Amino acid sequence: MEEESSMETKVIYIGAENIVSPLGNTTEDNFEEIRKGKSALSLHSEDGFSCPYGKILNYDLLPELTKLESLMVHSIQSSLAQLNRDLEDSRTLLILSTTKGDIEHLAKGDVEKSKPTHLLEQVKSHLALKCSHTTISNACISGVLACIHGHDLIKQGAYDHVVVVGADLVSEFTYRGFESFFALSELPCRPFDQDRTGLSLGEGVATVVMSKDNRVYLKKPLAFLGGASANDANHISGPSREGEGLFRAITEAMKQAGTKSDQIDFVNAHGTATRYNDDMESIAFHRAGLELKAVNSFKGYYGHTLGAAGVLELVLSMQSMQNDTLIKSLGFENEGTAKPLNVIADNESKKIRTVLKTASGFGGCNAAAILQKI
Amino acid sequence: MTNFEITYQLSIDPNGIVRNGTPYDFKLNPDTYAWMAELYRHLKIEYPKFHKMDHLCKLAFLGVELLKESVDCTSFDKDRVALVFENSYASLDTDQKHQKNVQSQKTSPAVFVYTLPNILMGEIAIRNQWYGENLFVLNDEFDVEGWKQTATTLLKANKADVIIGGWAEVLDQHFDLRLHMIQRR
Repeated sequence: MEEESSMETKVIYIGAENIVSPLGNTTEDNFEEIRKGKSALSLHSEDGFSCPYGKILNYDLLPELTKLESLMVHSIQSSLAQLNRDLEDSRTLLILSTTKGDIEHLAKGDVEKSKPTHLLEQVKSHLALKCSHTTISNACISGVLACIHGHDLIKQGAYDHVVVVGADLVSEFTYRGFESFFALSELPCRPFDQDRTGLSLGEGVATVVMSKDNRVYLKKPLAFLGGASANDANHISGPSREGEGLFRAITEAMKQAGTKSDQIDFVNAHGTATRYNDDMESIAFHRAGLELKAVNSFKGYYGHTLGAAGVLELVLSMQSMQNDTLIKSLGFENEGTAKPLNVIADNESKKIRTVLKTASGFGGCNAAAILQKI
Repeated sequence: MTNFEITYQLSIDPNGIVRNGTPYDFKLNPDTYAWMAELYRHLKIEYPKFHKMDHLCKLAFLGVELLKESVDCTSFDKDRVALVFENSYASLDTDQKHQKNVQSQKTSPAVFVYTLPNILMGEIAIRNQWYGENLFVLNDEFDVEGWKQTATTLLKANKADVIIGGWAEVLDQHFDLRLHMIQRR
């Protein structure tokens, strides 16, 4: 393996992106909806949940597949259809990013089917994909981490192409868990606002294709410059007050990407709208010299889609770049984080070349990645 | 040319504890998980947070404590120790407990927080103040070469000097830890 480092690939591309969410089944539809300020968050009292969340209602349930399996099939198919050729099986890795997969099976006592690896096998077999596969389950940073890992694998020559699919649903399991933390907001979440009252959950599936070869894409891809993760080493269920891990992840990501903070055009933050998370991010961004950068969170549109969030939000950041549009951070009105941030209050046309994406999660984990227009 | 080598191996399973190929002197009764607290006392650890952890976290935590008995980890750069763990059942051992709590409408945040497999890396990071990379991977079976390939990605990218991790699985009465350390030579 070691010899491969001498054959490092220069640019790793990311593109052929798809989102399946309550706001639509294509990237374009999703971006159009959020550009109009539409939120997926609404009340679904039929589920017995008193807090609003983003629920996917319109989808094709495929024969013998679950809802999540069906959504993943659709999302992966949609991404692969944006390539101009089939990827070589032996040079391609499929990564599933999820926190809980099809955990609904557990309510029926089926442990085997509750394994995220089972979910991925079901989808791979339905799509008759023969490439290698693996699953990354690293709480709320899973999606960003999967893309960073995919980047590193391609760069080091282990694979030529990596398909990352992020997927999670809102289940009784997840909802009641977050409820027990008193983390859920009775109103749609309001990241970075002074009156934020907690997070909203959401369902989503998103896919990206990373490759060393820009010729596989039908539409022009972007460059994924690199990223890193770091642990707060502080607490398993609350973020570090000093933003320790996030600051370290951003610093290392900049180093990996060869980017300086003044080159960043906007930051797509994690922004869950819990008091502690948003305060922590504001402190970490200050420490990283990003305090003046335009920043947003997409959680006000989709809620927290957990294992899908990193991929879904990367895709929306990619769309912001392709459309040279800063998207307002929905739910934000008044400044109210520990350190002031330049939160995007209205959509704005702006030349965007370089973007920083961050994520933080339970277990004290943090990740940061940098994208750039070619 | 950079070379990466597994410099330490430890296994804990119902047959006992084996460290670098040598059985470790500790009698382990696999019928209950009482051995975890016994091993904690045997190692003379004073860390009350241990008792709040679920079995998966305790297993990985004890593995790293055993590692520290034979390897001096204090000289490691705390930003350059990466944790890369893998299993197939994720956190389903604790997921079952939370699911029961949901069904009886008695959910507890102290249980729910352990319904993510990467929490074990959080516990190890907190204990040792290791700020480095974390990566939790799910695969059906443990293949040490596959794990090594995943883990060395971080060394090749120059994001870490040391990788600690491997396979950590707990489901009901089944437990299996295969702990490895890889260092840059």
